[in-house]
Amino acid sequence: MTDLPHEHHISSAVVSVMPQFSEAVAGWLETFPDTEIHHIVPGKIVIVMEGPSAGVIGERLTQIALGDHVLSANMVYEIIDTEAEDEEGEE
Amino acid sequence: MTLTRRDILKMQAASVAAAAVGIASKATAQPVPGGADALQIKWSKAPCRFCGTGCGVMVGVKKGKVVATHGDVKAEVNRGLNCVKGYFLSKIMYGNDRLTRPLLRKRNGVYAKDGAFEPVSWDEAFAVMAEKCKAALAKKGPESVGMFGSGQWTIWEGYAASKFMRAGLRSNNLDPNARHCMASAAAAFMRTFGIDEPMGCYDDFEHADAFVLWGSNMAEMHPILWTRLTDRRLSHPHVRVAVLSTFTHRSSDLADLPIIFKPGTDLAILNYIAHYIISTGRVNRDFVDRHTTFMTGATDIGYGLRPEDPREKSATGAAKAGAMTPSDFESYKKFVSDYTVEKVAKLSGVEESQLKALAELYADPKKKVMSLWTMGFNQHVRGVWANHLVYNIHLLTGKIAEPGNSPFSLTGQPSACGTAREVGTFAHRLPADTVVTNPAHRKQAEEIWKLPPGLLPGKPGYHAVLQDRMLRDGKLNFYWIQVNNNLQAAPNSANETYPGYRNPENFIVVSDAYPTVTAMAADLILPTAMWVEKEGAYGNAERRTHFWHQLVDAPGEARSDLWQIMEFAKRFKTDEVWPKKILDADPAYKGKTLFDVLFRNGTVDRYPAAHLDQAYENHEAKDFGFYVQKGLFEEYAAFGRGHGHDLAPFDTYHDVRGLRWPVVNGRETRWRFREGHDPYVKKGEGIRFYGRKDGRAVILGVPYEPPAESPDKEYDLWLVTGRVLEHWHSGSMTMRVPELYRAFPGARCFMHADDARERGINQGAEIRIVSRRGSIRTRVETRGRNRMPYGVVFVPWFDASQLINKVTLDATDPISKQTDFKKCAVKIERV
Amino acid sequence: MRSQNRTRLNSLRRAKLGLLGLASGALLFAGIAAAQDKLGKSPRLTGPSPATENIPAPPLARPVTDDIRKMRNYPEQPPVIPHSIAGYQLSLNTNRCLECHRRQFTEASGAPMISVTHFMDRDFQILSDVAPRRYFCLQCHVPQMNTAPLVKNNFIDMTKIGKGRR
Repeated sequence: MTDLPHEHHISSAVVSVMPQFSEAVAGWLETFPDTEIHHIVPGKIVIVMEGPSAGVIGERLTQIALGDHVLSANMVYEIIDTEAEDEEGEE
Repeated sequence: MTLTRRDILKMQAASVAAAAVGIASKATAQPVPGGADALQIKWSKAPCRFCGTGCGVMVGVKKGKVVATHGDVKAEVNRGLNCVKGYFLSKIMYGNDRLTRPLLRKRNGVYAKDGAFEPVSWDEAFAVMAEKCKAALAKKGPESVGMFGSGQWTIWEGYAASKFMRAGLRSNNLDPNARHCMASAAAAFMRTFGIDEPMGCYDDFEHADAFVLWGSNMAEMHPILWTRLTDRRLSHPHVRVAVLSTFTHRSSDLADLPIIFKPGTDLAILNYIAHYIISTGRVNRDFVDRHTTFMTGATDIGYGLRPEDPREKSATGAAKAGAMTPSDFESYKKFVSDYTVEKVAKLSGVEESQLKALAELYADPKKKVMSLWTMGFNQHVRGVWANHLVYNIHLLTGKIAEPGNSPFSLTGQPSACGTAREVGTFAHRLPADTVVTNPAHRKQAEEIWKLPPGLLPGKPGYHAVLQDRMLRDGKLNFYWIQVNNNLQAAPNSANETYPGYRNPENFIVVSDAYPTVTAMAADLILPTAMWVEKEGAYGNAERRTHFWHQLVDAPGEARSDLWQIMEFAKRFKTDEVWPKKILDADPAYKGKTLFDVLFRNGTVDRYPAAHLDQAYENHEAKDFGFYVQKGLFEEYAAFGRGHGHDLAPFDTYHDVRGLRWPVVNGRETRWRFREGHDPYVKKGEGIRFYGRKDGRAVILGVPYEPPAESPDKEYDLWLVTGRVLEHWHSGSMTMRVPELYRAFPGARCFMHADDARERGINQGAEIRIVSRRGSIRTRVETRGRNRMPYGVVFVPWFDASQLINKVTLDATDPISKQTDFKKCAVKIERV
Repeated sequence: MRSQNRTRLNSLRRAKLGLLGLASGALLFAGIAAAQDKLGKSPRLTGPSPATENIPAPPLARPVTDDIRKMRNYPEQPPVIPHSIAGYQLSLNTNRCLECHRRQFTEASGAPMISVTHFMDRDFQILSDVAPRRYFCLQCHVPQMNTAPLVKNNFIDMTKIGKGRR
């Protein structure tokens, strides 16, 4: 290995929202970069965020926590992937 | 369209978050490019492989490998939590040095005691093994063959071993390593209540107002039960925790009342508490009058050492150590009045105010108390007494057999209760609390097992420590060890264990998954399937029977202990091992193999392989042609049904997260002996200790007696051995998990800084720990998790390179024959 | 003890993050070349030879203190502790771990926040703070000493199974 190792953070979080605004908040969350919505139930949205560092993701989460109708946004799980992204998938 | 590694990681992350907040994960319902195959992890339940807590885990399997485990949220015991060992269960089967072929010591192509290990076929392994076993039987009879099993055997493995040894080879030289672990607890249950195992259950944790730990470091050894205790203490400010120990450890961190006493003086403290309860007028007279009976125990009972030891010769009560004679309340009251607070404070080194505070927890009729103990009590030359003395306190106050009032003996192995005790793999026991010495019990076993009458031997066999002595003395010549690492675990091992294994007269077989110290000292090593590589069942400390399916294949030619026993049984003809008289009386048994008469007896082979859950493999069923586990279990269950040990039907256990016996009409029992909870207590009886004919539990008057060996001028320190959180017992599984190994890589000697300073030893320096038996080299730890009082050192025994049991003393409780690993005298030298 | 100067700690953490791949690559995936001959290679596993022999005790290993988070083997695995916890007090009244890892303190400390799974009590109710049953952190999270594993572990990451390159 000559290059500095690649580092890619994947984090999941639970965003607690006022139930009647679940869909609206979800729509707003979709506007964030590298952020995917995986589950929506009334009051709770599970998102997965990606980024080059914990800091970038942390800042994004803070921003989300401050959003309208958002009660809280808590990180649940983080994976740090150090392998280069592999595109070939299943063999 | 394909699914990338990243996609999988993202889905993992999302599913963890979803699970955390209770959203049902719909992994397969999502549009997963590349198909659900890439993610397909099959989840199944199993109990944890380690301690007696019996946590439920979910095991994730993908393409024949365990890829993940986590705490089972549906398991009542742990509700989703695991300790660090449990969380790393995924890795215990994958150490690179797994044994995959039988290995036999050979020279010039044939077996030789001094040869080197060479791979052999199962056929060759069994042939040599059978030859050695038959040679011993022919020369010296059934007393020259023996087997040492474990509380890690699955229920049916222990049951098959018991049948094979007692009925097959007609030898009661069968004992489990649970002898080292909870024989004292079991003996005291039988002597006090007439029936084994706790009356309460883990639900008591959520009901008690006070917890008292007697020689138990639950924070490290039973971490998940400790989470329940911690939960109760921190959520309910009125709750109090007292921790009694001979040194300060992690459980002391939560203690409102941390008490350090001098080794062995717990007996005096317990008698003081009884005295306090009586002298302050807090005896529950109604309970005592109706439900208890008083007795006095024999005294000066010796230390279970070899008979020629001067300490045995001088012990006046050693010959009848277990004797109990009827007594009464007044005599008992007078007996314990000797244990005044002044006297006990002086003897134990505990402040009077602490003793009083402790006694008051028990005496206060408004406080529900749970007492918990493990090896501090059981590995004690007066371990049976210690158990009795704590029952005395609970019985005097009536604080027993109801939610929150619970004297609770914890266990260290996953099936110490389920297999060692309930199945009865001790040298004197048969299933469901029956014993070999009782002709009626033997008759019942012969009937259930469909064996000719008079076949079963009535003399108890050699217990664990005695097996080692008999191996050394050349009286036990064929010895099979399964699921344990006894050369690392047994006391005084360099003098009493190792020489027996290497005695040229003896043939030693070790079945294990990994090359342990014990395996390396054997003559034949059999590669063994472990945990979810076979279908299994364990019974935990709260009487919970818990099943699992075979989830993956064992590597190479490794086979389960059950398969090994049954296959080996095919090598014997009844005519070779049973008395001619018995066969002549019942010629139908002639010419059969032991496999035929023990396992093809019409009961064990009653369920066809078609009864298997088709979603799971089952190697034994495939090889033997019938559902072996179900047949063995149902035959075994016949011993206990209707006798207070009722088990549910076999198939039920594959659906539920375990059930606590007795299970009657589909309902488990949480509190025994109590009307409304226990179906064996009739309406209007309230409480009945039905294990004893008179329905009364025994309050036993026994004194403080000193340990077998105490520090003196030359050997000036107490040695206590034990465990650490990250390693389980001898470490053969956990030392092979990199994260657990690196968390606590080697043993060390925990020591008070002043003890070290006086000897000119610095933190981390290399030392030699020396006793009259032997020595090891280790390193000094004056900081760390265990904070030792002056004059006491602690060494964990998981590290095979520092075999501390070369140093320990093979003194046992004379009643239970369980070794005292907590008290011997050592000196420490700089290297 | 960990530095109480949280700003400095943060900058240190950032500086070290670049090493992450190297560290985990070397330790997790390369494995150990040893253990070809399976028997009797490590006295810590199989004992001295013969077992009754006394052998020197290696020095006590020192803890890993690089503050670099390690990839988990599977999502449910509790992360290991990448720093020393020597002298940490965890008792009825004090919890040194939570002083940095509790939600309110993570911004200042730069420490990872404890996961919300830890807010759930035995009845699966979400509390506002760490559930009492999760109070003793070291029951699940353990530090790592700077020492190589005794034997290779052949556990396979679930994302690598079925990809033909183990």
